[in-house]
Amino acid sequence: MPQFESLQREADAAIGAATDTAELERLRVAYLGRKGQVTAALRGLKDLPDDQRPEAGAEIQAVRAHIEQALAARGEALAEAETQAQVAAEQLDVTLAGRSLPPGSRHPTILTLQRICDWFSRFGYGVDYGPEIEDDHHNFEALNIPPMHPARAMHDTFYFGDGRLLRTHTSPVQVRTMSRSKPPIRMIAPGRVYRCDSDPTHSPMFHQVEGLCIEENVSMADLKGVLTAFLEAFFEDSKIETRFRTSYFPFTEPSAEVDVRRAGGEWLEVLGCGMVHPAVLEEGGIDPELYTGFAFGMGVERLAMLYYGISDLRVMFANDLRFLNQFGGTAR
Amino acid sequence: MKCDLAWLSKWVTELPPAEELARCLTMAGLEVDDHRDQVLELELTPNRGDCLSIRGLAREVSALTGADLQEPFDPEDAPDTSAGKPRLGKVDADACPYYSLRLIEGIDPQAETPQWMLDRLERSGVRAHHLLVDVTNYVMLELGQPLHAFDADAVSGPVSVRWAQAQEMIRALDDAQLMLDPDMLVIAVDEQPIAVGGIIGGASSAVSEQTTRILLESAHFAPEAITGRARRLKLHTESSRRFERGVDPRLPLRATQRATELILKHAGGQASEVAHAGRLAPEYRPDRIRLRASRLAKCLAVEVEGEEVVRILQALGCRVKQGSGQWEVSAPSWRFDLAIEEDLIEEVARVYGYDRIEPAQVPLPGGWEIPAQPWARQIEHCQSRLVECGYSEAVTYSFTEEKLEQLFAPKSKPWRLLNPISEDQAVMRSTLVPSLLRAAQYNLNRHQAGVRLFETAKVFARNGEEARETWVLGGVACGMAHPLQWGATARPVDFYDVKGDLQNLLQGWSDSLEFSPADHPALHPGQTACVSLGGKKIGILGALHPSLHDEFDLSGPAFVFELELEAWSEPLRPHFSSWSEYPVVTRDLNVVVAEDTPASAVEECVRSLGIESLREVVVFDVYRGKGLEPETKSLALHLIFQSFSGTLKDEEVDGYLEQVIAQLAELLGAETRQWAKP
Repeated sequence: MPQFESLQREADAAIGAATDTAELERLRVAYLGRKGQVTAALRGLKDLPDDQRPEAGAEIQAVRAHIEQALAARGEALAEAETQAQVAAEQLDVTLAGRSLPPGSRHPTILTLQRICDWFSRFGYGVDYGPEIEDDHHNFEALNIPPMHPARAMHDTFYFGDGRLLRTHTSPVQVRTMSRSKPPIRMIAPGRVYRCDSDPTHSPMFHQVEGLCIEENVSMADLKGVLTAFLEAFFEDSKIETRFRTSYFPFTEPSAEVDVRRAGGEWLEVLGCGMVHPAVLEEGGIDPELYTGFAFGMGVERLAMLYYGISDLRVMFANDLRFLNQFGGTAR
Repeated sequence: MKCDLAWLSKWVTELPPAEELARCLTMAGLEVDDHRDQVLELELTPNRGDCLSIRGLAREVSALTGADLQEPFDPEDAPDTSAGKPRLGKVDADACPYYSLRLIEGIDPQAETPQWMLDRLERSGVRAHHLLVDVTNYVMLELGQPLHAFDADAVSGPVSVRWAQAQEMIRALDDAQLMLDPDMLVIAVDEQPIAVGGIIGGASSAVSEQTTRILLESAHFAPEAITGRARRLKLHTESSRRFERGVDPRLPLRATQRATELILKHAGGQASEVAHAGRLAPEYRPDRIRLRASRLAKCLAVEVEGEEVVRILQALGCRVKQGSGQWEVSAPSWRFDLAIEEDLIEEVARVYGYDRIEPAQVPLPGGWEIPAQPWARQIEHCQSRLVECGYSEAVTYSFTEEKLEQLFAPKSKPWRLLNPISEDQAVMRSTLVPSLLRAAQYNLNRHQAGVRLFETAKVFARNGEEARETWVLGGVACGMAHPLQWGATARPVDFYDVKGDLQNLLQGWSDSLEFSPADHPALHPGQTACVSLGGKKIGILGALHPSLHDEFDLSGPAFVFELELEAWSEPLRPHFSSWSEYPVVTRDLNVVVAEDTPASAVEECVRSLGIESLREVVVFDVYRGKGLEPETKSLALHLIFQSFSGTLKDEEVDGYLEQVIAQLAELLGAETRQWAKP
């Protein structure tokens, strides 16, 4: 019937001309909705004579199916185009910086201090601390440095005038640990120390890590073993050379300084160590005939400077962000 | 000290090349810093005073290399051709076990120091004066014995050695006026001091280029009588350096003879008999030291052959008596540092070679545990969390200016250093904040747009006579809140940025974290909060008082915080709780309250109704100005309702809202308007 044919042609044209899914939805309603033309035509069937009704009915159903299909096809095409358009419109410049409050950074001295303590912790060394305002007894006398001992000249000491002083090294922690523990002892003591000395290569305050191991049969071979393994781990270089050369500390006997050398480099002094002096063991209430021990002490700033390649001690205390920012949150 | 290798080579039969010698000495404890131009630059430890001479070093080299020691000159004494033997008075025998004087007269004052001696002095780093002084210096460098020459014409009467009177004065060689303490030795004539014993000579009896008669002093002073005194007098003389560490007590006579020989040879004159008090020490030190083979092996973990042990000890000048499994060892007169078994173990080890001790495997973890300190975990937490929040870790000095300490802690009686390096490092700080502000100032002055710093360190206070040391976290934030970036408005950091950082930091350490208004002498009275964790005050947060901006050269606000780390408890252990799956209903309110009503009071007021399904109250805006009465503000509240027992009906929530509005009106006099329902 011509009126249905024209309805279909008209619908095809309208659907083909639709430019977005919203218009397509309007067309669906206009043709197929409750008040739509196709729906109206279907309703009109009841007014037709009985003999025309089946044929007309089939025709309208065919038109309806055709329109539905046309709508679906066009709908898909339009949706695709719209997605394309949206994607095209949402293009970002991925090279623009991300928005953030950047993380801060760690201080290389403190990072180094923690690296040292972490390594020794793995071998059973417990972390101990002592006061920074010390007394003469713990800082000197208990460490076999009596009042007139020339070794005191090696320690430019800050005094408070009441017998107290700022500790010049972390070694007094040895004495405190021994006096409250029984062997076997494995102790590591990080912290601030002070010397009355200030120039481009000396800071009045710096950090040390002290180590102490007291057991029944500890020898210099153990001392060398621990420190050699530590230095290889610290410098992340299993080929690093170490040498132990004779030195003097009143609280160790024998005493040694340890130097390291990387391939093709110079010998660099990195720490002092030795077998704990019997007088120090006795002071700590430990029988030197029964137990032996070794102790070592290292300057944290010096190790940090060697590890990170820092050449100027002063930057370690300036807190300049241009320096600190080089040691971000994940620095090792 | 400097050691001229050409000079040293006269004292040993064979000397290895400079580089090899430097290595060998360094490994054995005599650190050689430099060995250029055939001069060793040695840095000696204080126990090795015996090596402060060519002869002493030669002895050491001989022990280390096996080369023989040789005497390069004839030690025969000059004949006594003068009758004027000096007179001695009383000599304190404990402080000065041997004191000697020799008169030498008829010296040619024009005599010049021979070139070879000048060269050796120069290569040893000693300045030349004139012959008499040069000879005393030369013999000291050669043998290790400090000598002193008095102008004999300025010394009239017997010479005595005694302790100084309190506040006794002497003008020293370098013209400085010295005030002496009663534990310092003086050399005196008729009560008049002419030298500080073992430290420095006096100006009144100094030799000059006109001197023709001298009294040559050669003495042994006990280290205990010298140590520390020069330091107190702010003097560091070659003489005191040697006597403090111990000079071979057998040397004085030999040194006198050597100096006499040199003076007579180069300036003529006649020498008297040597007048002396006391005796020269015996060849070996009095105490015998037992060295057990078993102890040696236990300490070194190497088997050093018995013969080798004896060879080493003898090469070092010791007398060794063989016992069963042990040796009885007597140290030579010059080794003040050998007193106990361990000292001998070190001697054996260092000559044998530390590098011959094989490193042992690192022992496995033993069973020793020190209880973890309560603040150790806090420190690590602060470090990682604050770095995430954009703060960088600082390390500042523990001492500060007294003025700053007073500004931030007016009531503190800080620990004051007796000998600070400078006034701005004079007292131990009781707060980290001023140091961090200084560090922030340093960075702002170097064109950093924004600075956030933190530090964990100890602060110091007095607790009666005791020093109290407390671990704290300090922080500062100033300048811009974010680095310059697109899509975010540039703005300065403010109080709430920093408060947010602290909330992030402290979340999880207690159920209750509170910030309440507080006062602090250095902080802005309207922008300071006391921080409490679990009901316990742990620190403070605030803006620096504007009146202190100039002190820190700041052009804008700075926010600071300080928290006591020991005051935190352990972080909470999470306890699981379930949640509701029923829908959430939200409502927004505008609450107009008086300006001085804190936001916390508004939230508290809403919560005080105890509405069970009220999940959250969020203040999401604060408005002041147009449309509001003066002295009032409008808070925008977002309320979230959710029930555990079913879906909430609109009417139920409306009912709650009415209660909320009524409560706010009643308790706070607030005028509340509900936003259109979402």
